Amino acid sequence: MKIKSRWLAIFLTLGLVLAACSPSGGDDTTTTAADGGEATTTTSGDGGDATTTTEGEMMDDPAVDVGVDLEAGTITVGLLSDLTGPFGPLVAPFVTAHEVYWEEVNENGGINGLQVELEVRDTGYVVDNHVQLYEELKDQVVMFGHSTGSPHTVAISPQLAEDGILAIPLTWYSGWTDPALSSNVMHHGNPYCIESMNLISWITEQMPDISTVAIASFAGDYGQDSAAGAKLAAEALGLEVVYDAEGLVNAADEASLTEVANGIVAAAPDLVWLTANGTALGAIFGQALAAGFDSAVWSGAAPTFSPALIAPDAPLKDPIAASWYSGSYYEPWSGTSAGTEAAKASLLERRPDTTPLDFYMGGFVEAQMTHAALQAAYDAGDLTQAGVLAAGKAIENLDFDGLAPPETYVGDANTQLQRVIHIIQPDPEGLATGMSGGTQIVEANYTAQIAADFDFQSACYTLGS
Amino acid sequence: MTPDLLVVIAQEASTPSKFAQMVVDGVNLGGIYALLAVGFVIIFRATQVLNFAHGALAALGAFLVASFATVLDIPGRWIPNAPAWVSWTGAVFLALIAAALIGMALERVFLRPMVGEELFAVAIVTLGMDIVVRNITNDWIGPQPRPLGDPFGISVFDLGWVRIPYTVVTQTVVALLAVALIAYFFRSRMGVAMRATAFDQEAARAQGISVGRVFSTSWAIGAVLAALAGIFISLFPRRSTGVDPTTAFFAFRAFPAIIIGGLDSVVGALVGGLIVGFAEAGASSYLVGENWEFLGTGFAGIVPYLLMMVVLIIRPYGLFGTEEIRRV
Repeated sequence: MKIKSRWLAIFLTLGLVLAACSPSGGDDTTTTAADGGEATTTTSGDGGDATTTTEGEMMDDPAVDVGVDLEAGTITVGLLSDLTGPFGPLVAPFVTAHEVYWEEVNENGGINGLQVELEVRDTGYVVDNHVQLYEELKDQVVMFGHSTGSPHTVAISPQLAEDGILAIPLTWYSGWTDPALSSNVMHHGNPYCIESMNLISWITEQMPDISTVAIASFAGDYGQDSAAGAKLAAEALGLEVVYDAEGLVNAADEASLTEVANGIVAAAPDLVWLTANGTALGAIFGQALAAGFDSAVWSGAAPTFSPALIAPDAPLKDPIAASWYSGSYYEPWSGTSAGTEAAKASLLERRPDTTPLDFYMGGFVEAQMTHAALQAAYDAGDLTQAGVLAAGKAIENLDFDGLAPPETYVGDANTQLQRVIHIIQPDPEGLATGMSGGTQIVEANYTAQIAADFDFQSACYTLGS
Repeated sequence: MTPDLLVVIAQEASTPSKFAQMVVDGVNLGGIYALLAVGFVIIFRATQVLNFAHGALAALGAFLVASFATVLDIPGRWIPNAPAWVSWTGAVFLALIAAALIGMALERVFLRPMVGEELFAVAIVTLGMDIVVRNITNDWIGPQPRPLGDPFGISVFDLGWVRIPYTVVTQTVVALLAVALIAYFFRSRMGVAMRATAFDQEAARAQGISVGRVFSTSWAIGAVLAALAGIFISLFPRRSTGVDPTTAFFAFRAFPAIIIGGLDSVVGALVGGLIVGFAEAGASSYLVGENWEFLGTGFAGIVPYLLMMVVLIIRPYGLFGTEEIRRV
């Protein structure tokens, strides 16, 4: 058996080297390996063959401990996902994107012959479940390809540090850029408070008559980090906050939704900043509209908007399409970059019945980050949990081929902070015809002056405050 | 009259009045709570079971309408030239029939074998049913909310001083019709049988009443009322996105209505639902702003429970509930 395995390994390695030498016409992404060496990952533009070679040709088996089985030829990555909780509609497509991405990578040889397998656990967005499932998976996986929710990921942060495991937070809490919390995470995208600054600045640039704003949000990191950014933006831009319902919105509590809708109607702001989810937006927007409030511009953090709001049968389709703006750090489904086109092609090839949805793109970003960390660790000869952590945290200028702005995990917080965003708007026609996931870019790669000037010292909102 | 006051009056006259709008909101919310509460009570009266799967049945009903009306286009595909409201009403009727059959099937499969068992054990079975039905429904709903495809959209009767959504008018008419039908039903042979069964199962059986049929009918009616509530929750102006995985939880907000009205009183459930709806709407309109900051955020959500506690202290069996007499 051992001889057979060795022959198999030799053939596989030869195949990989040959494939790497073939002209693929792909784009290059450069990462810095943990030991300072340089590794090059080449991905073809059509999302097809992907293979890897390394300067210096690391031919020996890498060091391994948990989550990598060289005999079986597998690397196991964990996903702590909210599949049945309030962010299930967002997270489920992320998980699908991870699955599709690794199917493609595995079909094309995996990571130097090692097949990547996923262990997905549904946390239901419950912190206790999250911690328990982390404990279950930490002895099975080499890293976590995502960990859903800020309080949830904060809850496992001490354990991540103690266990020396890398995780990608599926949350855009500004704390992930803070050195106090970032030791074991690879963050991605605009933090909520920077997103608020970008969007409110853009909206007031386009509509200079806006002078008042109402702010409402979920309680917790997501809503209140975003609300904190909105208040910073309002102050910097001279907007008057005429209604403040920070932390008041509760999608499961009809009374809170009605209260916020009534508060907004009474305050009659020019701009409503609402950070919640699609259900809460539908309820608050709908009740405000029913009361005759139809003159404001509405905006909020990205997961607030749901394409269901502008589906062909949705009652709020037209008023939402006319008044809603949000942001996205990854290109939505309607994006046209090489990275986005490759992700869409891969998804449609492997899941032909897929309905376009922007969230898939975020999942591809996470999967590519995971890939980059694993590849860098392999190239450094250390696929242990600690090795993957060191490799991931040494990545500089990780390029997504236009799917998302590059990310960096070296340097100080202000260097690592992602300030670039796409301004997007609902696209009911694109959704109806299957050409978009419900949004389209109105301005790409935008950074507001106040976001560019923002000096990051600590999280905009402190969890538990 | 000062000019300032005239301006205020003019503004009030030209924009929807806060009070009138609160009344519309109270009717909307109260009607939904009443539908839910009456469904709970009918099942409880007939079977002595508190149905924890009621919210799941509400979400399932809304999902069935979304499926019939927007995905399967049933009965729309068979009546292509019919107006949209006719097709949609047909989809609602089909969904209600399906909900009734599902309610009957759940009772027959999971609860009939539990007849004679401890009520606590039966309640736990309904908790299990809730998890099963809710998870299956949520799986069918999928990751995105499902709009119900109703023909009302965001249309409102704009009277100047108040704006009444078409959906609220429809819901009020449907709720009144449902209550009238239930009142009529309780005077029918089956209704009398249901009341007799609620009073004493053994005696009812001895009188030749098919207790199983009574159970089955009560679950069918309860499921239909739950489905109706689920449909109206998912329409404009409440949850305009449609039915989603959180819809099922809405039903639990009807608990204060049931307790306030009295656990075994249909009239009580109706009144309790309206009280809770108006209390929530009133609190979310008036107990907000700087003057009420000391109440904290989300006070409107607590009001129904405060009312419930007050009623429990004064009348432990609810406003219309039957006082239980225990001989010692």
